[in-house]
Amino acid sequence: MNLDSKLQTLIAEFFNKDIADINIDSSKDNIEEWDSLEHIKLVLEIEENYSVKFSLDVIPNLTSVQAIQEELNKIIL
Amino acid sequence: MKIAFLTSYNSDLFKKKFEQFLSQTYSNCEIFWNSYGLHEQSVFNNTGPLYKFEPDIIIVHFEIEWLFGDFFYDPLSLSDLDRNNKIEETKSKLNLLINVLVDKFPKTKIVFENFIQRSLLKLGTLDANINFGINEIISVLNNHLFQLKKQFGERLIIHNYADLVLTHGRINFFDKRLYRLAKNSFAASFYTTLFEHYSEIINILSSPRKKCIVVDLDNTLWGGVIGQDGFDKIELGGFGSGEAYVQFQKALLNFYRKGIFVAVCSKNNYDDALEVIEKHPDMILQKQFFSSLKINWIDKATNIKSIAKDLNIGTDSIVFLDDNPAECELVKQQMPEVEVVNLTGDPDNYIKQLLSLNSLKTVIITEEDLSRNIMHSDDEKRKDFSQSFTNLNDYYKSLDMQGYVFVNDQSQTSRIAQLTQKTNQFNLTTKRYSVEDIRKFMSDNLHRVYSLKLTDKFGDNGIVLIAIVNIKKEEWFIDTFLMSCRVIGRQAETALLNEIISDALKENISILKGEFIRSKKNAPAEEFYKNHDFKLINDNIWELRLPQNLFNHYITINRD
Repeated sequence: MNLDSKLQTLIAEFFNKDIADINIDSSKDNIEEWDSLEHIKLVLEIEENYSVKFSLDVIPNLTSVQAIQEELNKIIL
Repeated sequence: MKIAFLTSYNSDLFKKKFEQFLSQTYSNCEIFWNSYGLHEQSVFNNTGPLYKFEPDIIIVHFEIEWLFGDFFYDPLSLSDLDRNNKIEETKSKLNLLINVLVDKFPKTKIVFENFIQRSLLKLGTLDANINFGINEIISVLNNHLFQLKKQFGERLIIHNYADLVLTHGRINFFDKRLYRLAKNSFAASFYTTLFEHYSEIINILSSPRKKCIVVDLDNTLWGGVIGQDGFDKIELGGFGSGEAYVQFQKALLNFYRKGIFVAVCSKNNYDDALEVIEKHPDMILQKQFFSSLKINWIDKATNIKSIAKDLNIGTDSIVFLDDNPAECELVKQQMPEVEVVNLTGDPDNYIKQLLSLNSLKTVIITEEDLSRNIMHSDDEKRKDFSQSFTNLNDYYKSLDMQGYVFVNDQSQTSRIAQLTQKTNQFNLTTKRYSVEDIRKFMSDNLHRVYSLKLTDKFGDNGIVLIAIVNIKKEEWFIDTFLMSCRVIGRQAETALLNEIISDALKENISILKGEFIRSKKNAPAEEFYKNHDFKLINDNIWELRLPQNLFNHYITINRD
């Protein structure tokens, strides 16, 4: 799956990392700062930047870059 | 400055953002938030983090859902009678919380956000049609907050959160997902609005208030240009824009009633403009409402300086409103201390711009504020009157001045504290005190708080002089001596000093000391001790050996 560079940049900036450090395999498991509170903040950031709203049951599953990209593809395409 | 938030919601989600937001305006702000769920405990745990933090301001934001618990979601679980009891129970809870805060934080300003009505209740329309529906209970509780306000006076400030939500839109302010996931029900799009709301009250409680609004005339108080369009063509009254200009004037009048000076600074021929002010039937702001009129062709910065001089206020307590961006720019450049507002759009937007200025908002209005403008017009009469005398003493005598001296009068604490906060010019030490400080001075047996009310043939000036004297066994030390600029040059300072001296004599005190602490603005008070025979004993300290004859003045003193 392709990682949208806008999403990559957004996540890198959010966690204060180099863009190169963020790839499709980045997730809650390998980014230390990605805890449950930051998770909600990240989701809000993505919602604002993509003008989308994720539903309540989806938000807890968006804990990897891949999951976020998949969900965005579903909504936007 | 230290600000504590007690919130029933989880603040983790936005507290960093809020702190960033606030740091744009306040560089020196420490913020405390209770850990989620510990808001009530924070109030009662007097060894806990809130107490250790020693806040200057506490903002209490409790949501109605927390106060009501499960009942909020299952209102019919209770009988009519029990729902009524719920009101009493919740009132008692509020009483206890507020009592403890006021009591345990005597130097802290306590702000309480009121409660919003809810539209999405389980009962819908039925809610308004049963005995004690939830919205009725919320109304009763909001009214109860007003009662608590009356009880606690300045110690408790009610902040209108309900109105904020209403203005923003009840449908748009919350995001249920965030409540479910993070126990914070605010929509992200509401954050800025909420942050501004919190920031507003912090500003009101921590920055000095403006004292005077200076307005332009053409395209500001009326539509059009009087010098070009003429008396009959300007827009004022009727309907459309003309009506909106009338409303803008009423908004200004409202500030006048609260004790804010309104002055005119306009480039015009004096007679043209004055004709409108005096004769236009729809002119709300008649001549007597303006504390100063500068209608001429001199540049506006110079005019604003002379308005400040007329009113005995600093130029930093002026707000300047003008529709012309060039005039605004000039004043901004030459007088960065003046708050400049470039009025844009239609006059309804002017009203919005005016009412959104935080520096003009207040949470306290004193008797003094209410009568300031009335007293100011008395002042104008006094000035005219003084010009008809050639001898100053004859003038003083003819004023029939009466001074009423009070010592430790508890009913005056707020006015006294206000004077220490606001008086810059005739103020020997410029020490700022809170209401709590004043109350303490009055009751600690180590100080005497003197106040003097001055009346004359033109009216009542109110409490205009304050002295706080530290009374030791061997000597008395004047900690604070100040006089409202309104009565400078009336010898009232001599009258009050005499009272202190004669009290000291009665108690066989042999030394009276005082201090002069120079500030940027207190030059008018510089010679006070020298003129009253005090000797300078070191850098700032002046001393008067007693006994000492009293000084002459023309004020008749009344004292219980």
